[in-house]
Order: sequence, then C-alpha cells, then structure tokens
Amino acid sequence: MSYTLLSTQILNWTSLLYFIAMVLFFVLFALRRRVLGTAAMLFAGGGLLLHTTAIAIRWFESYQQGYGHAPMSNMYESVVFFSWSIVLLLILIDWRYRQRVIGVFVMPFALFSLVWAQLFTVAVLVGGNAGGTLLGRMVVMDDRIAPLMPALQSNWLLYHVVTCFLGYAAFAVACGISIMYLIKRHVESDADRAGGGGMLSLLPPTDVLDDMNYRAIVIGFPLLTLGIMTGSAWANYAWGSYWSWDPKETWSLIVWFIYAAFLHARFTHGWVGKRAAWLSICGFAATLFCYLGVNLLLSGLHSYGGKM
Amino acid sequence: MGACLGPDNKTVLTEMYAWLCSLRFTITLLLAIALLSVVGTLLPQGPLPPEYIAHISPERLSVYSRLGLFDMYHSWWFIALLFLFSLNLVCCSIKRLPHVIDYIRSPQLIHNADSSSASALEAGIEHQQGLEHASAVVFELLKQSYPYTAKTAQDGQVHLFAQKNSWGRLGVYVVHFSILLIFAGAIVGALFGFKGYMLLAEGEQSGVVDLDGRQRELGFSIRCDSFTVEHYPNGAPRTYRSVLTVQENGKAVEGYAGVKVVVNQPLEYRGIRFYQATYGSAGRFYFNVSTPDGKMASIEVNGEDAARLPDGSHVRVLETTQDVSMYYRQLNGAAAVLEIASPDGRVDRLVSFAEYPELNLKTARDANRRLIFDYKGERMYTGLKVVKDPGVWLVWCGCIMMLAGMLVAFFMPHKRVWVVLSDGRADVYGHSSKNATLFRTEFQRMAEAVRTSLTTMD
Repeated sequence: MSYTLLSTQILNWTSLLYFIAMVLFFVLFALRRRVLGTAAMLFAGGGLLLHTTAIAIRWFESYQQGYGHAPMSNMYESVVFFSWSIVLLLILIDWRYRQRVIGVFVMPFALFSLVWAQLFTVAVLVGGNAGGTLLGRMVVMDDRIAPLMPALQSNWLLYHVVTCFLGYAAFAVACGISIMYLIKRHVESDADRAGGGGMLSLLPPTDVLDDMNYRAIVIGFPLLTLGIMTGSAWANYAWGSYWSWDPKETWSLIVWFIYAAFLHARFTHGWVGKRAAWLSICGFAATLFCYLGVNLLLSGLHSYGGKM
Repeated sequence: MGACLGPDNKTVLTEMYAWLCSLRFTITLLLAIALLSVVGTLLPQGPLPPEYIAHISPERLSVYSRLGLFDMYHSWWFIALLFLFSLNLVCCSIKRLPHVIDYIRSPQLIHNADSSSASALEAGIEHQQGLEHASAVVFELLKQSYPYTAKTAQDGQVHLFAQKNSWGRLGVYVVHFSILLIFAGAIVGALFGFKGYMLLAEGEQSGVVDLDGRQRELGFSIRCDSFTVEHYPNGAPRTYRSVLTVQENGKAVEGYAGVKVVVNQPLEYRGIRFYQATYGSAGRFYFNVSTPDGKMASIEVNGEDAARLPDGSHVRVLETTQDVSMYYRQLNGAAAVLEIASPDGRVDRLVSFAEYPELNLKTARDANRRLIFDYKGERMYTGLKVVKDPGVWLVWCGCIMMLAGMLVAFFMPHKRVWVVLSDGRADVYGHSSKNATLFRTEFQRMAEAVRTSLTTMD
C-alpha cells in the first residue's frame, strides 16, 4: 500500500501533539510549574481538534471510496475513537476539577492506543510483515477503509460503538486516577519518614482522587449500560435474539457487574479508598479484555480481530 | 429443624433473612456471577466442535458435562444464582423502601445535629437585621433557588428549610425494579416464545418451523420468491436478500407479498419475525442447451447427478461460482464447470458462462462439440431464523426504566439547605445525598448569597 489516507496522516500529527502533551504533563509533575499544566492541556486540546478532524475526514473518505459509513467498523477505527474519547474526557474532567496532574496518568492511555493503531502504517513504511501469527494479528491493524458486511449495515452501529467507547474511555480515566490514588496512599504512609514534599506532593489529596475515581465511573456506568442496551437492540434486529451469552456480550455484562459492585461497595464500610481503587483497576482490566481479549483470543459473533 | 432460639430470640430464619437483605450479599452475588460467567466464555457453549472433543480427555469432558459447563448459562445453578440475585433485590427494596418513602414525605424541617453530619457543611453569619425581616429576606432567597421551601418558628428561632429532588431518592429503586422487569421479560420469552429455522429454496413455501428437532406449525406459510447475493467489487458480500410472500390458506396476504428481507430488516407477521440468517445452493443448476442450427432446450442438473441429454450424452456439474472474476480477471458473473460424457466415450470438461454466450460458443467449437451450453444460474435456498418473543417488550421497558432511574439516581441528588435564624445570627447548613464535592460549591454560593442579603443595607 503506497498511498496513505489523509485522515491517517492527520492522525500521525495528532499522535505527535499528544506525545508533547504527555511529556509536558510529566515535566509538570517533576518541576511543579503550573504553566506547564496549561501548556500540556493546550497541546492535548489542539491534538483533540486534529483528531476530530481526522475522524470526520475518514468518514468522508469512505464515501469517496464508494462505501459510505461511519468510521467505527473495524479494530483500527475503534481504537482511534477510543483514544479520542479518553482525551475528550480528560479535558472535561479538567474543566470540572482543575487537577491538571491527572494528565500524567491518563494521557498515556490515549497516546498508547493511538500509536498502536498507527503501527500498521509504520510497519508498511519499514517494509514489515505482520505474518499470520497471533502476535502479528495483535500488534498490527489493517487501516484500510473496507465496505461494511451485511450485519454491520445499520444505524445501530453508530449508537452502539459510540456509547460503548465513551464508557470504556471513562473507565480508562478512572483507572488512571485509581493508580494515582494508590501511589499517593503509599507515599503518604512514607511521608512522615521522608518529611513530605517531592514530586508526589503535587498529586491531589486522596479524598479528591477517590471522588474523581467515583465520578469517572458514574459517567462510564450509564454509558456502558446504554452501550449494552443498544447492542442488544441491534442484535434483536439482526439475529432475532437480544441476548445470546456470546463471549462479547457476556464480558460486557461481567464489566457491568464489576462496576455495579463498585458503586454498591461505596455504601459498605471498608470498601472506600484502597479497595475501591483496586476494584476500579480490575474493572478496567476486564474492560480491556472485553474490548480486545474477546476479539483476539476468543471466538464468536463479535470477532473481527485482525481479519478485517 | 425449624427455629433455634438464640439468646436474643433470633431464629436461624431471621438471620438468613437479614443476610438476604444485606448489601454485602449483593456485592458477593455480583462478583460471583461475574466470575462464573467468565468460565462460559472460555469453554465452548452448546454443541461442541469436534476439534475441542479431540483435544480434551474423556474424563475431563464428562466432568465438565455433568457440571453443566457446556451450557452453563442455562444450568440450574446459574439460574439459581440469578434467582438469588432477584431475591436479594426484592428483599433489599422491601426493607428500605418504606423508610425512604416516609423520609421523602415528611421532610425534616428543623435542622438537628445529625442531619448534615455526613458532609459537615455549615456557615455562620452575624447580622443586624431583626428576626422578622431577616427571615423574610432569606426565605425569598431560598424560594428562588429551590422548589420546596418551609418556614417554622420554634423556641424563639425561625427555621427555614429548602430542598430539591427529594423524590430523586427513589431513582435507585426504579433501577432495581427495572432489572426484575428485564428478568421477567426473559422468562416470558423463554416460556411463551420460540426460536427456530426455516429453509426455503427459491419458489418453495412452508408453514412449519424447525425447532431443534421438533416441528411447529405456524398457521400460515411463507414462500420464498427469490434469493440473491450481491457482492462488492472486492468480492466481499454486500447484501443477502430474500423476497418473501406470506400466505394464508394458499393466498398471498395483502401488504405482505414480495417483501424484501435483508440482514437487520426482518419480516414481522402475527407476532412472529423472520430474519435473514443463512443461505446456500439448493443444488439445482440450469442451462440452456443450443445446437448450431438454432434449436434450444432448457435443462436442469440436480446436485451431483448426471442429466441425460436427448443425444445420449450425460452432463454433470462439477463446480459453480457466483463471481467468475476470481478466476478470470476480466470477466464477470456466474459460471459453471461441466463434465460432458458423450455416448462414444469422450469426456470433456468445459466452462459455461452466464454472461458470455459468445465464449460458450467458442468453447463448443474448440472442443469440437455440437452443443453449446449457456449457464443460467442455480437455485438458491434461504435460511430464515424464525422467532417469536412475547417478552421482548418487557425487556425494552425495563431498559428505558433503568436508564431513567440511573439518570435520576446519579445526577439528581437530594439537596437540602437549612437556615436557623435568631436575632443577630443566621446559621446555614447543607446536605446532599450524593456528589458531596459538587454540592459544596453550590452550598458555598448559597451561604455567600445569604450573607450578602443580610449584611447589605437596603
């Protein structure tokens, strides 16, 4: 493939902006200069604008190739959208809470996903070959615009994918915040010895982190619920069954149960703070398995891993 | 066995009931269901693929089988878990709901020490206004921001109360009820509905559904008028389209004749839905056979059998394709590979194209044969999934209810503000059932507004 789509080229620039934003967040963390936080958010915001443009252009490009559809139909497009949702949520949470340093723990998720998605084009430029191996399939994604197979030709595709991925992104943010929480708790227990201060003092207080973790999940949980419901409605139109215990459906329910347990655990003694942070991290691990593990490792109606 | 009375007169049943209504049980159940569900995604469910059976030891196979692991979501123990989950939901609601409704109906108009203990929001204001005037001013202020306000006089002090979204506390119970509704929908569907298949070759009709071996009469019949597969230029499937006609007593039903059914667009008739599920070749191939002097006949070749031609030769179809461009790059359309055995013992293999009669003519000449074969296509069959699910509407109602309940539960917390006024002093207290941090900002703004209203002179 010698021709790279315009949208893909724009995404390369987006990755660069996100990388700069991430570096600025890390330096903010190390040097504790507030102006770095502002600069980092500006780069993240600029990157998000480019990112949005790239997605819109790719939608348009699909029409140019003769099969117009929303850019959410294969692994590559979904990872690009996932990355976009994370940055969007980071900006929204920054607007509400103004705790810039969480960028250190959230931006890497967005950057890593986008760079991973772009790896296919990198592989082509370098003359690489993914091969038929599982690792090959997991590492490299096909970024070509392909026509939709009959099962995907539905408006439900857009509603289902958007709601699910916004939910996944919220859980990613909650996971990043939970990691910060655990680090801060660990540091606090050592703080009396070390005399406090240092990089980690820039981390927000634990109760603020705990609250942000909860808020992120409160955003993600209804979105995931909507994602599962739109998926069921679509399945009912396509296959006549709104629930068939397909591995993907089952895993999305598993994720739902884990976060439901999290929300209920808030009312039980001993389940706030550390345990809540671990549950949030487990929830995201389950989310990742639901998103990627099922497609790449298990089989079922949903698998599109690597093949498209 | 029955009741064993302990020192507090507690019976075993009371203890069990307490556990049944507890939040700890809920969390245990949620995590247990989640963990067990993982097993069903790792082991194959339903009919086992032969590769799996080959790779697993017979002892392990039998153990897993007896534990119900190969259809675990319909196993008795999984359903029992879901039943316990529903029981826990119902018991928790019965235990807590009356209290919550009482709490909502009788708002706590007078602030006491434990009302705001959870979020300790308070502000003290010194003022120079008289009690009457101060109360009136602050009451007006509260009325502007909160839909429910009340003024109570007690012990020489005036207690003002304002609240928002008190009924929002019921949001959680709506979510829980919706889960039960969804389960009910699933049960109704399982008991009173069915799922099966119907295979129809083009032109064929049937009134019977295949339900896993058993058969069920529909009371009407469906005829497949035609079935087509369309492809994209790159060969990937684009559309699977069946054209169906519903028939009652042998006559087509008005409005249900020639209905196009594609994936994502089923046909619905009398509460039963027909989905485009699969397709295949019915194994009947059609050809036009012509002689150089212009005589033509249509023949049908069935499956792998040989069709006998008038001149004594036999024709068999070896292979067909819908899209010959995969083999001959410049060409399109369908084609078939024929084997023709003449009475004189000569056997030839020829390709017959659907869209290129001139090529077929050339083929016949090159093979030194009289007869020219034009491929006219094959008869397809369509596989329809037939579903009746009377419970599906309960499920959708449950879903909508769940979303509404969640919106209320998460984003409409019960907010309350109390102002205790006496001569020269006003104390403001606040409480929110959720989102304490966000309410803190709102509370501080309200307290500031109260302070401003009491300390500026009109």
